Amino acid sequence: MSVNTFWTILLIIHGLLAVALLGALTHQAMAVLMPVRQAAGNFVDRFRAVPAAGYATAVCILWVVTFIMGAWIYTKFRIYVRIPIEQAGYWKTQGFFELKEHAVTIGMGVLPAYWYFWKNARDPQYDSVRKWLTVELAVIVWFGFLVGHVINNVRGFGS
Amino acid sequence: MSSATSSLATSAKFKTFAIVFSLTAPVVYVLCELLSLPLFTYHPATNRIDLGWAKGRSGEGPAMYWYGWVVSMLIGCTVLGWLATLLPEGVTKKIPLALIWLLPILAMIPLAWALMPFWTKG
Repeated sequence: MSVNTFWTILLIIHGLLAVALLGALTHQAMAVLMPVRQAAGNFVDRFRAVPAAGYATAVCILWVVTFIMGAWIYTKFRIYVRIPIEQAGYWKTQGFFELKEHAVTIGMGVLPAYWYFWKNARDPQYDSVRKWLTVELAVIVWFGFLVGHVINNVRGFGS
Repeated sequence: MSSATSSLATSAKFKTFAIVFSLTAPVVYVLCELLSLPLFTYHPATNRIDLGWAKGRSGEGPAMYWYGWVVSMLIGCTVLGWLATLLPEGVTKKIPLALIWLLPILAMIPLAWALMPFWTKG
């Protein structure tokens, strides 16, 4: 296996983990923003009718593992991807990637509280913070996912 | 829920630790970034690690501080969370929980500002 292939595989694994995280958090955010009150009917109803509390541990694990994969491939990104992107003048694109690093790190920092509030989902005093923290984490993951895709594609397919 | 998970979820000390850890994470991270306080600097081209902040050396590729900021945040917030568990339980009850999701949003403002060279170049 070539070196390029190895790092590409790691990038794909990072992407797949991110997709799983995206799915879990989006379901959970929808469930907490629009909780179902009766038996689920249409697609949107079924999308938000998930047992949201059960997703919390999976979200924490997926976040950390996705983060570690991203941190691992970041060493190669810094030299072989970021420098050509800057040379090509894509400064704002790179700026958003820098923001992604900050956002996902801060997101990881709030995971302990996020997990605690979901494991105590029956306590109404945590309803508001649990809802907005979940939505915030979902926004961070969507942001990170989209920025990651754009930076991966900005120089064109196969570059 | 397994018994270990259940015991952690019902532990008052873990609650205090988790809340303080998560509250301080955005603050500590922003301070580390703005005040250049990475625990270490990594030089990917030469696979070298320097303690604290170190400049990239000419001809040896860029210096990376992000890893050092992350570790600084994790260690700093773990210590602060642990210290909070030593305080009386009533202290953490006074913390407005909304700060846990508000502080990350506020933290992005100075972080985005610090990236001004990227927004203004080209």
